[in-house]
Amino acid sequence: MSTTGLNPELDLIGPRGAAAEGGLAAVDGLLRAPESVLDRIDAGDDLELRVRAYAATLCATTAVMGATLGSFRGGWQILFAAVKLPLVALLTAALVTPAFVAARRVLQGEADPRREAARVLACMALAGLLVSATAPVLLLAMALGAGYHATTLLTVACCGLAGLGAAALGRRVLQRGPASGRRTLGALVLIVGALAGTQLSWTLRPYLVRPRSDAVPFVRAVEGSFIEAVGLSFDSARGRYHRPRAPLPEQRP
Amino acid sequence: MATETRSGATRELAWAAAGAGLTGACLGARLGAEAALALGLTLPAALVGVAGLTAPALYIGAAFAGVAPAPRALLAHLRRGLGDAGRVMAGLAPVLVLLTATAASTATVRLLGLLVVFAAVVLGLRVTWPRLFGDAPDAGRAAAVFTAWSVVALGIGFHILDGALAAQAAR
Repeated sequence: MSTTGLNPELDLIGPRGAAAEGGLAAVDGLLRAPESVLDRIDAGDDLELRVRAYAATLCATTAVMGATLGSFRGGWQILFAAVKLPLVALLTAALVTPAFVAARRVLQGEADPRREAARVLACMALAGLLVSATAPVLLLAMALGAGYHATTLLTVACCGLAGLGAAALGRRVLQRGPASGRRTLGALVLIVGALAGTQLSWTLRPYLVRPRSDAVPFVRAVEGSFIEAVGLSFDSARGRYHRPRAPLPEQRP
Repeated sequence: MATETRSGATRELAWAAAGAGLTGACLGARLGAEAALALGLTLPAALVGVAGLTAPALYIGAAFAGVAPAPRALLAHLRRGLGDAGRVMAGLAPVLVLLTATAASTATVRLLGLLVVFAAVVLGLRVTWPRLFGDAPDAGRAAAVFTAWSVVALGIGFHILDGALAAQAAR
């Protein structure tokens, strides 16, 4: 039986080659054969390799998205955003996993931290792959002259679509476990992930810097919540502004 | 799964670069030697660059939709499509020289350039589609993914090309 579950020929390669190819196969499996991936995780096959592969995929794909967002302003912002977005993703995974482990143990009586970490990272790596696939759409929007607020909303939409894909995989994870507490567990993970992810991304902003900003800060001071900011962007994109202009970073107290 | 030797891959990319470079040089020749050199380099870079930049998105989208070929096959077919687009551009270069040499305005040169590149790239996409997704289990889903990818890639490519043409025409 193939250790990767997808290509038996990989078993004939040496250990290092198999590790590299196996990592790629594990990631490719997220797109092509997610049920097979979940089978492997359930069986405990190559968990360490999978966790590394999924974490690396999450970093690489969110870095691509970060660089794309940063290209709206250009310059150092490309690097800053490419560094910050993977941090947001990894920290979100680090916050969601213990919550998932604890809730699963309580609600369903069973939880293996290594398997749960692999499952969480698998879902997030899939989200990373899907969101990086939307990067060309953002580039096209910028090329067509989309403004700051329209680009912001398009980014939210792209991330939302990627999140739906990850949620679908998460649903498959839950369906494999005991039926008891499944909905509560799912809702809890979604809420914790949403809160952690949005707050982390809000804390480490900016990614899409306002074009008229002279300064390009690595992070900005916290100003209200993420949900309030999305509402402001909706209004601004429709031409309804709540203040004459947004204060530049150097103008804030 | 398509088999492609290293020399075959090099040949396709060489056709893409040569055809696009020749087209760029023909367009720029009307505007001056410097423009010919600049466009002769920009057009191949844009063609290959946009394909390379957006290929992962095509693979991810197709794989998620359950219609993707193997990664190597996808790359091989994209390379062949680029080569075919380059061949078409090389074939249209003589008539492009004629039309741009007799054009009264630089706006006409820009329009001709965009039309030639558009025709070549669309033909390249047209022949790439059955190679990539001829055996796809769901033709409808494959068509949706390929169409979306084509539209986005074309949009990015044409933005780059139009910008380069406008910059040279403005000199």
